[in-house]
Parts: sequence; structure tokens; C-alpha cells
Amino acid sequence: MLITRVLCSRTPNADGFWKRRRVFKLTAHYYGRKRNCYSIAIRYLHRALVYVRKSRKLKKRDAVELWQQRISAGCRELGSSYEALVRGMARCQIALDRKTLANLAIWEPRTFKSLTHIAAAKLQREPIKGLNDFSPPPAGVITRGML
Amino acid sequence: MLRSAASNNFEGTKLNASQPTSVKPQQEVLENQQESEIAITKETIEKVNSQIELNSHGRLFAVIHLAGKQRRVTDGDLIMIEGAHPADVGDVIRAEKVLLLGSRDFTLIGRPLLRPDLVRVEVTVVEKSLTHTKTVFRNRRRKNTRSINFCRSHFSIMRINCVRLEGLVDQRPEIEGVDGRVF
Repeated sequence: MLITRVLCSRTPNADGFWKRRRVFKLTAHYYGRKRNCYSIAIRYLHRALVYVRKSRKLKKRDAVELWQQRISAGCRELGSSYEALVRGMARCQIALDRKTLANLAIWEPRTFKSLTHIAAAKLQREPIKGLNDFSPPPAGVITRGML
Repeated sequence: MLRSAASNNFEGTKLNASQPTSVKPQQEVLENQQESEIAITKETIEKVNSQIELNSHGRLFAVIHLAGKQRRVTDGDLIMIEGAHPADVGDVIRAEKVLLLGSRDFTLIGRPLLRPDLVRVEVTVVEKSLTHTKTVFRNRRRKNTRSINFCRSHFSIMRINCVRLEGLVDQRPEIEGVDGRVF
């Protein structure tokens, strides 16, 4: 009888230790049995890794939402609105994106103010229904019909 | 221009030409503002140009469009570009798509871009490397299907050498769009 083969089958798998260790390293910060019991830990780890993949996309989507909120807050402070700014700028062929606009609203308020004025002046010239709520109309904007 | 508001007051009533009316016609004179507007424009442009000539505008910032994204940059900034980029380390690139240029006293806004002979933004590639390892793990619950992949993407780090004004505002050359081209 081949005793060694029998004994070999009874010893625990050497690779198993390293496999588990790899998982436990990732679950080290969990609470309770999901930290140290392999069968529970692996379940929670799988779920966490799926969230990691999915949230890489959500992060970008959330950033866009945040920029929109910041722009609309900056616009409302000046009596304008997000829609009026974006559509007025599009008609003026100014191609600044939302990330930049949010940045300008925070760090370059005078540039941002002039952008809202340009957009409002354009909308006064070519009105869009429901968007000409800029009150009072921007003073001191000289376009000479070239906007 | 003369605008008469008198006609509105008598709307709906019959006017008798022989009967003298006590109400005087209301008129207001609107000044032709075109000349004053041109004067203000000229003055503003002169002020901007004098600042450019004397180099007294201070530090400038620009919004550039580089590698598919807009970035607000100024002198000495480090920017990170995600994904593969053809330039090698040490290369100096000129960012030609400048959407906006701002200083302490004035802002130049491109529609959509500023003239290439007006603004110069130079960039040096400092580092090219790979990002940290990202785990791409897919799992379908209760279906016994899962896969795990690891990926590292390229990125390059660039230093903004200079953001500077090279030309004057409102002074366009006779032939445009040919500078830097070889015929």
C-alpha cells in the first residue's frame, strides 16, 4: 500500500493557506466573522470588489452632478440660471465645459460673471421661451451687434 | 430716434381735429449710443493692449483643451493626462487649443478658440508611467460566474512652462492661420 499517497491526501493543501491569506489581507478591516471566517469573508469580499468596479463609473457621474450644482448656484447668485448660461454660451459658440465652468465659478468669479452677462445679452437678442429671466438685464455689456 | 407715446393715450377715442387738446404729445429722445459704445470699446482695448505691451498684466491663467479634456492652467502647474499620449518624456508641446485666457484685469474668451498668434501655452512632458493596479472583478450572484482581471493604464504628467500673451488684442494679421505651417 502506498502510505505516502494516503498521507498526502490527508494533509491540508499548502496553496490553500496562501489563497486564504490573500483574502484575509483584503478583509482585515472588516468587522466580526466576515473578517476571519473564510467562507463568510469571501462572500463579502466579492460583493466589495463588484462595488469597486461599478463605482469607478459612478464617481464620474457624481462629479458631473456636482459641477452642475456648483454652476447653478453660481448663476443664481448673479440672478441668472444654469439653463440660460449654458444655452446662451452655446449660441455664442463658447465651448467651455461644465468642469471648467464650475472651476471658474469658484476661483474666477469675475470671469464667471462676465460669462453669464454674455449669455444673457445673447438671449436678449435671440430669446428662448422661458429663459429670459435675467433681472435686471445686464448693464454695461457692449456687443455692437457682433455677439 | 423719435418715439411718440401720444398715440397710445388716445387709443379708442375719437379725435376731433378742430378741437384743441390739452394733452401735449409725450416725446422722448433716444440718443444714438453707437458712437459712445465704439469709444468705450476702443478705450478698453487700448487699456488691455497697453497692459500687454508693458507686461503689467501679472500672472495669466488659460483654459486649454488637451487630450480630450479642458484644464485651467497657469505657470508651473502639473497636469495629469490619462491614457496613452504620443509625446515622450522631455518633449515640449504647444497647447494650441486655448479657450479662455484670464488675468487680473481682463479676460479673453475664445469663440470657441483664441487666435494661435495671440496666446502661447507651452507644456513639457515630465513623466510617463502606469497607474496603480485596478481590480476588475465581475460577479453574477447565484450563477457561479465570476472573473477577475487586473489592469494598469498609461498616464503622463506634464508641466506648464508658460502661459503668455504674444500679440495684441483686436489687431489681426492680413493672413491668418498659416503661422507654423511649412509650404
